Amino acid sequence: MSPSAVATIRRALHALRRLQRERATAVLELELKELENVFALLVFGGFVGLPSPPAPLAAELLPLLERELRVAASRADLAHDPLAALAGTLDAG
Amino acid sequence: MARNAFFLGKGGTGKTTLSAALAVSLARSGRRVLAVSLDPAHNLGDLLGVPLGEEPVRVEERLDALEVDLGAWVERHLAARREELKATYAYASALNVDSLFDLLRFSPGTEEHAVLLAIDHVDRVLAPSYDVVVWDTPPTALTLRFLAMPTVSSRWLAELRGLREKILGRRQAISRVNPESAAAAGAVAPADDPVHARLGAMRERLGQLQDLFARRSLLSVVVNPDFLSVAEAERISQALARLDIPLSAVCLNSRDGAGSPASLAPPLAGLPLVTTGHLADALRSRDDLLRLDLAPLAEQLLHRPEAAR
Repeated sequence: MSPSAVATIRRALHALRRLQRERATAVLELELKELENVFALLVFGGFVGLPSPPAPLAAELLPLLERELRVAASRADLAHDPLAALAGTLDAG
Repeated sequence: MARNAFFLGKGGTGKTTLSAALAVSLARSGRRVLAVSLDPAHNLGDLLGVPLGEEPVRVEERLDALEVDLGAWVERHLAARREELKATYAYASALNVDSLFDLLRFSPGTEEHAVLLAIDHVDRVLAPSYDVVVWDTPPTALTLRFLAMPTVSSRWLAELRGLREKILGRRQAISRVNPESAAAAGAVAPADDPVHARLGAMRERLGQLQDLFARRSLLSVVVNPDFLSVAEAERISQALARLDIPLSAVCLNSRDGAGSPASLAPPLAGLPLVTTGHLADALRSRDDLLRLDLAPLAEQLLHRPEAAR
């Protein structure tokens, strides 16, 4: 077998393994995003009418929650069609 | 470690006068005393006859006093948060941090948070130089809110810490299976996570304040022999019971120095009643404060078992 064929097979196996890993963690990643979203909503829920900790505590955490705020914003973008987002993650339909 | 005495009660019952009287009598009996006014309408300095500020001022031998400037503590708190926020979200030019903090200045919780920051500062930095700290409190509504804040906030922080640990657990699981995933970023142990560490530091700080109020302080409610001040004292007693903060005595600041309030309901009736007497004439000097009899309260304060911090 030529060296280029071996390299091609190696690249294909690597891609396959990466695909399998992504599939294996997709549901976990969805759950993580939900947890991060809930965390941001719990801390900053006062701004949208949800019960929240006293504002000074939220202000103290705000500088550390950039990632959670991004997730919450992206979850809000998907809020109009949550079923489609879930079906996409689970590769259903 | 300093012993702490708080006077609570309806406005006008004599909280500031009794705070000043207790501070002067303890100082003259040989204790090093710091009197602290948390009341935004300060008149502790008027009673002690010395202009007070944010730093302890020597009133007489062994007695220092200060008046907490709540507005300054709000500004210090907001300034610290503003700088941290600007550094983190420097790219977000559309985010007007200054206007956000103008709003936060008037948010629920900000004023009582400022009171707690001031108490924390006095307790950690100043109190170790004294035997006793006597606290004159603001009006009942604000006092109950700042006394409740450590309990309420601790419950929130416990929930948030639990959720944070779940998040970190998921990130670590993803990191093990698929280290290249973007979701694996920040997959660290709780001890290395800045948010978890900040939540822990906040819980520690509030826990110490909760301990100060519930275990290291003698709280007295001041009443006059009238229905309104007794009714408010009963509400204070019920609110403190819900927070597991024990009330130690009822001080009857009575005009004729005798008699008890018309009706003390069970929670108050079961507490030691300290009848202080009353300054019938105008207060002319600090010595006049010693005519108020607070010896039983001083005895209770100085001989209660000292709670370890």
